[in-house]
Amino acid sequence: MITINVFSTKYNGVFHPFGIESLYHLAVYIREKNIDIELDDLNTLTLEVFQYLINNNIIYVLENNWMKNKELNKIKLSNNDLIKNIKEKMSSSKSMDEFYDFYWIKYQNWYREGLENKGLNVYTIKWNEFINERIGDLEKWIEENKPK
Amino acid sequence: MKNNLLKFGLLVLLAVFTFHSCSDDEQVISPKSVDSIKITIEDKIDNEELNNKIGQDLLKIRQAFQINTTNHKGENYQKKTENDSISIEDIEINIEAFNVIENENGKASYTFEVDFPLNNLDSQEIINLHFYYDENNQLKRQLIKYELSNEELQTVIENQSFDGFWDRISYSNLDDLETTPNSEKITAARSSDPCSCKSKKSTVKWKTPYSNNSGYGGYSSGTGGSGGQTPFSVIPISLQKLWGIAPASAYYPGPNYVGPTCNCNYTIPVRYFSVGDLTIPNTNSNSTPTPFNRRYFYYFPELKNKITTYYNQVYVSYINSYMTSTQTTLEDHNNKQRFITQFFKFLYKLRTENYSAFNYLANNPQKTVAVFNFLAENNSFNAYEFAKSTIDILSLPVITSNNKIDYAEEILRLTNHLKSFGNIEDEIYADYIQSLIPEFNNMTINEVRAIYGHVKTTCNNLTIKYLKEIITPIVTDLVIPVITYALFEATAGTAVKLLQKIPLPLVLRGARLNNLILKTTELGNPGFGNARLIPNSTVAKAEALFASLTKDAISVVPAANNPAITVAHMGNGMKIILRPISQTVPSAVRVIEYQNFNTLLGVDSFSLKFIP
Repeated sequence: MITINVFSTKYNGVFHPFGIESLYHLAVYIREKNIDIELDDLNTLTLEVFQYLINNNIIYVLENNWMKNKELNKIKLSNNDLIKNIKEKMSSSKSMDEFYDFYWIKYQNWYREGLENKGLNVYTIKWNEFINERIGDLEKWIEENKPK
Repeated sequence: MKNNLLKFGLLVLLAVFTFHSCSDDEQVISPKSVDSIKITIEDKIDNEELNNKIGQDLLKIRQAFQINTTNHKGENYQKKTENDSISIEDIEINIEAFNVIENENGKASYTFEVDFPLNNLDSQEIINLHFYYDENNQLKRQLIKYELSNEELQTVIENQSFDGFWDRISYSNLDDLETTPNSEKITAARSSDPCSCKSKKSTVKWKTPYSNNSGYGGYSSGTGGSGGQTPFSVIPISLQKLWGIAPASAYYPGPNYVGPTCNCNYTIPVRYFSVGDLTIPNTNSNSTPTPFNRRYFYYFPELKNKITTYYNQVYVSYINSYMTSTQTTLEDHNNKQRFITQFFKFLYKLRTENYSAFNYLANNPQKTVAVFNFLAENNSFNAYEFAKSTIDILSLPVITSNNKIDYAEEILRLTNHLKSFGNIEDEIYADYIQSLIPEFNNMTINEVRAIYGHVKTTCNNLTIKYLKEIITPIVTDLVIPVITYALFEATAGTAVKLLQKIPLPLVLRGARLNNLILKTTELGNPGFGNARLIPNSTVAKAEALFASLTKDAISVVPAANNPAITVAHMGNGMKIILRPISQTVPSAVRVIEYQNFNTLLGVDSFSLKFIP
């Protein structure tokens, strides 16, 4: 059983708002950190991180037609139903590639703008350095800054 | 290093002997006679007696070959000697490379080349000092003269026979040297003397044992030059000649001869060359070439060192490599001399026919050396034509015109030159560039000038590379500067044209496409994760690049559940995807994503994010 600490330097890239764009990309990110991971474990970890990000209001999932109508509306599903939906799809999937069409995400404005106010921009690639120098304890910063 | 040369020479000689001992059906000599003669080329004298003799003989030879610097016309003697770099002290015995030949009885004889200061000019003679042990085990020696030009000696080597040249071999016993200059019996030691102010007369009597089949019949016992016996036994490089085919008077062992039992003191011509033996032709082909050491390289001073380095690189077959040596063989010398002559004639012709190209070379020493190296390695008519074309292209100035037609003409000239390389990668590049020319009307003059600049740089770089080595350029490397220009500098309309025109051969699935994809992952600036950020972008640029990259796709279709995503299937699960972006990069316009190109990129997904 693999467990992860999302705030560890190994995984904290999931918090970079200009990196991951979808559930697929999140899975790819986690697999890069665990090269030989089995699909079941990958699904579990991906879902675990995904839930954390959603439950802490850091990201939301876009409507599936967002690319077409160019509006970044939130999917009309509760978080619980969304997770249930993803789990069902994962159970019948043979590869994370099958998720490419679904579950595109957007980082919440409060989160991205908060980091931008600290100096983050699209060219910030030294993420750990940015956190250490500008944020400090990221988990604490999220707690303090997320909408109440 | 000398040892390497010696081994090299030995190998050549042994190869010659082996060839002949195996190939001649008419050979009647016992094979053991072939095997029993051992030839080595050495660079160190271990024999103390021999060493002492050489020292003594050198003085004797210098005396015998004294160079008379007397001014016969009454001119000032001192003045002449100041201008004359030649003296008897210049005569040397070359102990850096000499032959040792053991006869059938294991007795060794030694042959040294006598170096004369003028032998780099029209030398028609090779003079060797040959040592051997007589039947009383006394160390004897004589001078042997081969009146052969370098070319004739090479003919002898190639024919492996002295036929036609036997009467050019003569000898003189050093003990019999006389001091009676101007005697009728005395001949000039060296036949040519370019300086009329000095007469180089020797006191050496030469005897010609093989002329007119007279005087030296019978089989040599090697006892030295008196009576009716040959003083030495030349080993014609073909052994069959050695055993009496020609000239009969010299070597014929008799009808009942069954094999070699003689006490022969074999020798073969020993002649080594150094860079000082080279000559440089003059502009006027009728004038005498200038010795290398006396040549002043006015236009190309760098060639002095270059030629020296080139000459001293000697190919050693047994290690299949080049090594540095100050001395080389006749064949190698002749080959190098021929090339040097040809190279300078090429330069002279270039000066006559295309002075600006000649002048370009004169002002670009590195290019001159590159051309020299190229021609040294590719000595053919085509190579010279290629070099000429190359120099012509390299010498073209960068044009600064306000007329698009001028650039178009120049681009055509440059790209046609690239096509002449006969390399498919160059052709694809050239075709691509040439396909842009009709679009020049819709481009700004600065854009046309920029494209010309890229082509000029690419063409020059490639041309220089081709001179240095045989390379196969990768066409993607060539077009990337143009793609980069399109993405980051060109106006939208021009950029789209430049990207759209990327030809199918350049993006064929496999090596070319992979190379291009790899190159695109270096474009722009690094983004977080596996991404590059392409600034100054538009949707049209991204779409044009995507369309070109996927020209050879198996299929290009909308994603099943998200038609705004365009998926190009490239085989083996690899996909190139074009899609909008989910606002994780503010205002980003499009993403080109490489999916499952793990082998190439090392990651499952890599994104080019086009941002304004």
